[in-house]
Order: sequence, then structure tokens, then C-alpha cells
Amino acid sequence: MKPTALPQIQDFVISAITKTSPLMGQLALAESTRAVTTGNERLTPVEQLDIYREQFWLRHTGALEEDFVSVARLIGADAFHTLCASYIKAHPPQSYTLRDLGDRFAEFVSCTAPYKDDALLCDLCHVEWAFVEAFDAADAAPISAQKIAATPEDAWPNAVLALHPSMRLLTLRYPAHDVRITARTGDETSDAPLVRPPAQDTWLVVFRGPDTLKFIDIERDAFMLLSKLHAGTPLGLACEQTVTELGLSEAAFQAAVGAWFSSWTQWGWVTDLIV
Amino acid sequence: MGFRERHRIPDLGVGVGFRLPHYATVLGDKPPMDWFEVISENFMVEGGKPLENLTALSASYRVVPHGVSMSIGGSAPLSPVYLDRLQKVLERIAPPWFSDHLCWGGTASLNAHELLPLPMNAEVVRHVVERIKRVQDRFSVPFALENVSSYMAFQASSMQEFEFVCEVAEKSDSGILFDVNNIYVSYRNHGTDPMAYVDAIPKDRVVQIHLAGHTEKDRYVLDTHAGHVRDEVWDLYRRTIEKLGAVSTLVEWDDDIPEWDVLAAEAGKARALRNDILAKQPSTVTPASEGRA
Ligand SMILES: [Fe+2]
Repeated sequence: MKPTALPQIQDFVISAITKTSPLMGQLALAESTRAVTTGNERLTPVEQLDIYREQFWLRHTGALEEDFVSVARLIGADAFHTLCASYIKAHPPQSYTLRDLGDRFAEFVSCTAPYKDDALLCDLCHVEWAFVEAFDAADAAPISAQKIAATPEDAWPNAVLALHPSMRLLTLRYPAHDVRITARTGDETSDAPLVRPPAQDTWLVVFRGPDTLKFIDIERDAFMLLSKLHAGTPLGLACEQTVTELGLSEAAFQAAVGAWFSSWTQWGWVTDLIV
Repeated sequence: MGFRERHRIPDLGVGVGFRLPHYATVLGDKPPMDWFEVISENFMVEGGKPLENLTALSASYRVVPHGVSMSIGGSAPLSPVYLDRLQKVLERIAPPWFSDHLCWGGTASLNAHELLPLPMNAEVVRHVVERIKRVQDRFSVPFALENVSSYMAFQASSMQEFEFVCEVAEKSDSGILFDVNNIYVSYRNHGTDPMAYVDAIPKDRVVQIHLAGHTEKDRYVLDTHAGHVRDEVWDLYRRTIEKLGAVSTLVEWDDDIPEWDVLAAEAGKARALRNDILAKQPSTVTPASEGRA
């Protein structure tokens, strides 16, 4: 049957150009393509369509390769391309921008054999994506000293801290951020396998500073409080829960928390206090 | 009154695309350049460096946004999120016009991030015109569509490409971004007569011209925006300026992007050629001078 309506033609083209292998070997498809595209003296109808198929995979695999450099380096180019193809099949690109293409990559890898059991690889996917998200997240100015000073003491326990929109909090089983740096410095196209570091629980914050993307691994206790605040828990309750869950003494917590907050404000993480 | 006149479309001279490898040079040194085109989608983000760079660029140069993902010929509804974000870009830089491509990019369930060609017939003209009108209703900035290069032709087409481009522009009352390299690529891939194409384009609708390089493959020509503009495309450009007069021209270079000086020299070559032709046309406006900044 010859599709003439635009939606039919477009559905047909999309189903063809998203196939992972060349269209020329697919007989049934060659037949139906003849009803859609004309071909010319140099190219058959299916060869014309195949140019777009090839570009589709080059473009999308290329975009993922840019966003997940260290992942590609860790498993090698061939395995990465196969992984990309299964990811794109499972989560076809829907956003208008390629920027969003990898938004479910970490989740996909974390539940896809054989990679789901590779904790370093899963961590790396999360770290790489955190940098993508932090890059163009909304802007926010750090909280002013006046605002802090003007907040009455009894308002603090119920206050919710607004944190910088670029902040991404990651609990990792490996220092994946170090591996990312190794993969992204020097020759990015190098085929040399990356060295796998030993496992080490890591609490990482990726964020955007005034000029560049930054990351810092902070101590577990601070990370726990920060996570609660990041989730919007009021300050008083977040502190109480942290003390209880960590089994800390009130005194030990009080001794530490001041230094945490001073670092967090210094890094521009706290942008507002919602009383 | 024609489209250009009605919308007071300025002649910006000859510019280049604003691309990542040149950000530091352009924003730091502010080299002479008539104007810049930016890919709209790269700046349709929440915050961070992209928006800072766009603001800085538009403080020193005239900037025109050029989209790749509106999918004006798609069957899926135009994305409200997309249009909202585009609106913010337009508000940020207040351009004299904005553009996208006369193509489609995917279906409701998949965005191929590709400038896919449309079957060219009366039904598709109606479909596209209706969608262009909705875009025009939404934005106060004049809207132009670019002719795309293509590697396939549809059985369902019943018009020549230039007829299709002209009819869509006339019926929707939109501008045309005339990509001279794409016309050459279409000629090589489909045998369309490029000179007839240039001759058919309504002079008063063309708001901008694109020049770019392409790549020769075994049995077709790929529109890669890589390398220098080819001689055959310069010939077409000459013919285009002879016909259209002083139309803003933009050199696109997106793959194997060269040093700034090489790109600026390519724009300089276009500027010299354009000035030369315009100088022989006493009735046209004075050629644009070397750019701001
Ligand atoms: Fe173009």
C-alpha cells in the first residue's frame, strides 16, 4: 500500500531510520520503501532512506559519547555503542534537544545486564549526568548576609533552605569523579583502558560555581544533613533526624554543623531562607 | 509592500555562526564581525554559561536565533514547552527576525533531531502554512524558514522544491532563509536546477542567506557544514546577490570547525564578493561596512 498522508509517511520514515542495521538487507522494508521514496540513478529508495538511518545513529551515539566520555572509556567503544543502541531503543529521544538525550541513561545502565552489577560504571553514569545537569541549571545568587542577620532566631527551626539549583547530590560506591577526570584529561579518544580504583564510599556534590562546574566529596554526616535540606526538610527537623540516624551526641553535632554551614555558604550553595 | 520592507528587515552584512570553539575569542577579543547567528536550542536552557554567553554576545553584536527543532512540518502538535523557551531567547536578544527549517524532525513519540525533508504537495503546503500561522500568532518577531538539503525524494511529491518553498512562504506570509549551499546539495542529489531555483525565489521575502561547505560522498553530497564554501556555491551566491541585492549573509561552519581567523576570512570573502556585486547596482542601498565591536 502506498502511504500518501503525511502522518503515515512520517511514521514510516521514523520506523525505518531508527533501525539499528542497514536497511538494504531487509527485503520487506525495501519493498515498502519503494512506495515512499523515489530513489534516483545513483541510489535506490532504500539507500536514500538509509542515509538518514546512518545519521540518526551517528548523531545520537555521538551525543551520548560526549556526555558519558568516561563510561565509553571504561567499557570500550564497541560495547558503548551497543549499550547506546539498546538505551535509545528503550528510551527513544523525545526532547527537542539532544541535551536531554541521556537523562535516563544512568537509570537504564543500573538495571541492564551485564552492567547493572558494575557499581563503578553505574556510579560514573550518575556522575557524568550530574555535570550535564549542573551546566545549564537555573541561576541563583548566594544568600545575603543581611538576610541571614535579619532572620529571627526562633524562625530558624522551621525555615527551609533554598539550595543552588545546579547542586546534584550523589551517593557513590566508588570515587567515580576521579575516574571521570582521568577519562576527560589528556587524550579523550585514547583507547587505553581506565584503571579501576578500589571501592570507597563517596558522598559527592556536583555544582556550578561562578565560573566553572565544580565537585567536592564531603563527609558522610554533612552529606546526610545536606540531603535532607536539599529535599526541603525544615532545618530543625533535618538536624534532629541527622543526629538520630547517625547516633551522634548533640554536642558532637553542634561542634560540626557550624563548620558545614560556613563551607556551604562559602561555596554559594545556600541561596535563600524560606521562613 | 513586500515582506522585508513591511517588517523593516535590516541588512546586517555578512556574519558567522557563533560556535563553541570561538566563544573565548569572540567574547574576549570582540573581533570585527557584522553579526552572529546562534542555534536557538543551545540557549533554550534554564541558566548557566549559555545564557551568560548569549547576553554578552548580544551586548556587542547583532544576534539572530536560528532553530533546528521546531518541526514545522511535523504531524505532532507544536511543543508548547519548546515555544515557551524560544520566547525567552527572543526576549533576551530582541532579534530583527528568527528562523527555523522547512522540514520535520520526528513524530509524537520520537524526535530524530534531523532536518527531514517533506513530501512536496498541496496538502503538505496547507498543513505547514497552518502551523506557521500559529507560530506567527505567538511571536511578534518576523519568522523565516530555510530550505533544507535532502538525500531522499518522496513519491508523494508533486511540486518542485522551489515551488514548494515559494508557495509556503507566500501563503503563510513568512520570510525565507535562502541556503545557497542546500540548493547546490539538492541539485547534486536530485537534479533540481539551481539557477532556476534562485530565479524563482521572491526577492522581497528573503531575509537571510546561508553559505556553507559540504562533503562529497560516493553517490551523493552530504550537507556537513564542513570545509570552505565550494566554488560552485560561490557562483550561486553571486547570482543570488545579483538578484536579491543586499541581503544579510551568514557563513555556517559546524564540523571540523577551523580557527577563528579562517572562519572570519571566509566571511570576508563573502563580504568582498557581495560588496563587489552591490557596488555595480547603483539603485541598491550602500553595502554594510565592517561589523560592530
Ligand atoms: Fe543553513
